[in-house]
Amino acid sequence: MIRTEGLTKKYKNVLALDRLNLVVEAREIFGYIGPNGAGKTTTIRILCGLMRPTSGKAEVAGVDVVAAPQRAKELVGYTPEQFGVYNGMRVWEYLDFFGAAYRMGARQRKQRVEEVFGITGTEEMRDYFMESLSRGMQQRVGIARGLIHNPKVLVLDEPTSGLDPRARIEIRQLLKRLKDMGKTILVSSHILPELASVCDRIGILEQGRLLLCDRMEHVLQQVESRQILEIEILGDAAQAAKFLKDRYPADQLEVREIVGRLLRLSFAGDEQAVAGLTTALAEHKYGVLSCREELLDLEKVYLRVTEQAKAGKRRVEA
Amino acid sequence: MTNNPILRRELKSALRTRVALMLAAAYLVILAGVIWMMWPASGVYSQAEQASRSIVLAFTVTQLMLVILYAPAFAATAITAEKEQRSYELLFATLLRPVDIVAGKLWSSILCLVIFVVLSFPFFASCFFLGAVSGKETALIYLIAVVSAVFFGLLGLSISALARRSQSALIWTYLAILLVCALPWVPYVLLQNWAEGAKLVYSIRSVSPLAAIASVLIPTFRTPPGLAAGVLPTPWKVYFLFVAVASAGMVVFLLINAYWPVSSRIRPQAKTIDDPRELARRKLSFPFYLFDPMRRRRNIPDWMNPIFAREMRNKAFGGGIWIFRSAYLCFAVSVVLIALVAGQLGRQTPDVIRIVALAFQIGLIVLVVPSLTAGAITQEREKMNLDLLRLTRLRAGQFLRGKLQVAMVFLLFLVIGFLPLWYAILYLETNTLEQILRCWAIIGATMVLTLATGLFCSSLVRRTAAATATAYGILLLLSVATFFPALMPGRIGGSLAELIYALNPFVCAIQGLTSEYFQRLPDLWARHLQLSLGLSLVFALAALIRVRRMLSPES
Repeated sequence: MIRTEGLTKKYKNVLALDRLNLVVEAREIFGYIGPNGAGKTTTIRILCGLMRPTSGKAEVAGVDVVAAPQRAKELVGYTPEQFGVYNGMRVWEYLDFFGAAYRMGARQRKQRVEEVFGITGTEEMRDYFMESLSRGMQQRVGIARGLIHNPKVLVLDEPTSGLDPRARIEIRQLLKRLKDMGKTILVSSHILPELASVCDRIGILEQGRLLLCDRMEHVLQQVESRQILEIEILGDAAQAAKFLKDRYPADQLEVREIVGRLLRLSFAGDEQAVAGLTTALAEHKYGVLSCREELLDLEKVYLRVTEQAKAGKRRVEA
Repeated sequence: MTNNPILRRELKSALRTRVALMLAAAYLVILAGVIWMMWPASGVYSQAEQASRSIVLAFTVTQLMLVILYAPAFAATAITAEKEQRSYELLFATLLRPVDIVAGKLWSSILCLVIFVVLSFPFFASCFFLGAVSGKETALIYLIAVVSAVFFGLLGLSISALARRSQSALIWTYLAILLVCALPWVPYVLLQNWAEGAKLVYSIRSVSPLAAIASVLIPTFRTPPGLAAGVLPTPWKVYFLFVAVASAGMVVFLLINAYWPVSSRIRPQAKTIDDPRELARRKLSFPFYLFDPMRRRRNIPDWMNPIFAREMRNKAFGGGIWIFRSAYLCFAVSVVLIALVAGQLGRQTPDVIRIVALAFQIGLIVLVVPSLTAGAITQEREKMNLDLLRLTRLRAGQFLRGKLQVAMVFLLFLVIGFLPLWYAILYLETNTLEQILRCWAIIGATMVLTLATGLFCSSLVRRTAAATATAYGILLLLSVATFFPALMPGRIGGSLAELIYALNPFVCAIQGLTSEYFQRLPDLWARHLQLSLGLSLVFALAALIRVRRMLSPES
């Protein structure tokens, strides 16, 4: 549904996007992650037809957004992180205005306004004045505005930024509902756990380069082929660490951290190998109080990937 | 005072910008230009005292005009800008006392203006060496300029404390300054033949800074004809007294406002009103029931420009009713003029009535109409709506047409407000229909020009306040600076003077409607229409090109 090839954007001496190759399939929620200034908003603005790239190609539903930005605008609904509201207008008038700006007929608009109220769960706000809405309400109305012309693709830039937990949950539920309706959604966010729970795939962007782009479960595998074990030792944890280092080769086991009685290990091996490790410790009088595998979350994945990129271990990936 | 962090920050941010440098350069270039144009080409100029004084008078009046133009730019946005950026409350959350915040804002606004006034010393020195002006007169001239800068700065700051938006603060400040400068002259113009009230009329006139300057440089201005010297205080003394009292009042107001701020109004989350009783009540209380936002239910019709529809709902009739206030003002002034004509109160000539009526109408257009379009594009940017509009299928022409249509609706109300004035002019029975129609053509062209200027400035700069100030600057140049040939008839004459006068809507309208003023010049109205409409077209096309670029993808 969304495809970029060698997409590059240069602002004077700053390279905002560096030969970005990105593919977002139809009917999926794609999480776009990156630090401030990574190039997320630049990508989004190019995809929405608001900005021309320096070079490269960007397509939405087969339409070249550079060659036909007007056509692309019909296919994309965009909700920026911050947007203005027109004071003195009520929510339905606000949506009606944007419908008219998309050249929809009055009858079609009337029907569509009711539909998007239903989709976004904003019926109760229909007669509220725009300026009286809370941040969370405004965000939902913003998504309703993005949907008013029934686009195939919805692009959301930091939709949960500044929202309270309840509003975040509501936005997440809304995204899932939109996906079920057949919409393709590209969502950028800094709040990574938010994305982990709703996204099918994620892409990590740093300094205009896509460092990683895959399904959530594959991402975890790519980032860390070895599992992280946390073992609580009854006895001297440092001695136990020395014992394990002597027993296992460096490419199979690496002691990451010793905190009091807690050992953090990076270990390559299946469940049986883990059982063998704990048995060996017990046999050598290092009582094992507990052993658990530490699960990688999206924040850790992000930090790991960006650290690897800084260290030069990770190259730009298509 | 120098330790006040607000003052230091404000001065730094105001003076180290490129705009401040450009403003200072423009200030000096204009003053230098005035001196250069009036400077003697040959002979010993100082021997002709009157000629030397005319240079000083032109210089001083120009300086005052520049102070009037610049004061709102520095002072009127000082507090509203903080409110718009939501940083005003942050200042009060610090350990700074409200009096420190007010003092910082006050001194920074005033110092910027005073610096500009002081910058002009070298130019004035060259005038001084021509002779004809004493040291005391020089000191008084500069004192009036500095006092005016302080007074207008305070006025701007007080309005800024009251207003919520920079644009409205700017407009109100310009209006208030105009009232201070021009309103005291109105009783003088209308009632100068009223012997019983001469003292009152002359005292009121002394409140204007223009009268204060004139009283320093023109001896006949100090004592009204028919009254003995010393009966009335010298106008500049009256002006200083007025400024002292008004400034003290404004300082007290600013302090009260800082310590006990007025809470902002919050619009209720209102529902559509269906209750017939409530509807009937609103029908009686809301003057334009048809546009009442509480009963709007229909979608935007297909034939209507969506920008026009939104602006009507959003601004014109959605919130404030300031449009109608302007129309009410027109009615009020018209009634006063009609009363003067009917009652022959001031025994004034028909020409005086016509000049006041024209000056009021054209002045109101020049002051109010640019504000209708000066925020047309910048406000969309400031409120972060431009990107949302760029996402839609709106075209540049459609966008500008919608904005202009709304401005036209307002103008319609203004025109209706003018009608009683024209009834008063018709009542005088000295003008033909052709003369009146010509005058209306000039007023119409002025409306078009002011709209186009506002739109052009809005497309040119990024902030509404800057766009409004730029529009006022251009219009001041076209409608006030074009009086300049009158100040130096010996230096600017012939076809150049005619061309300059043809740009001035006041001159062209007064020439067309009166029998005494500017009659030596050839008929200017046709040339004025060509110039005004031509300039409007250029401004409108420039705005269209700019908006087209804004709505297209950024490169």
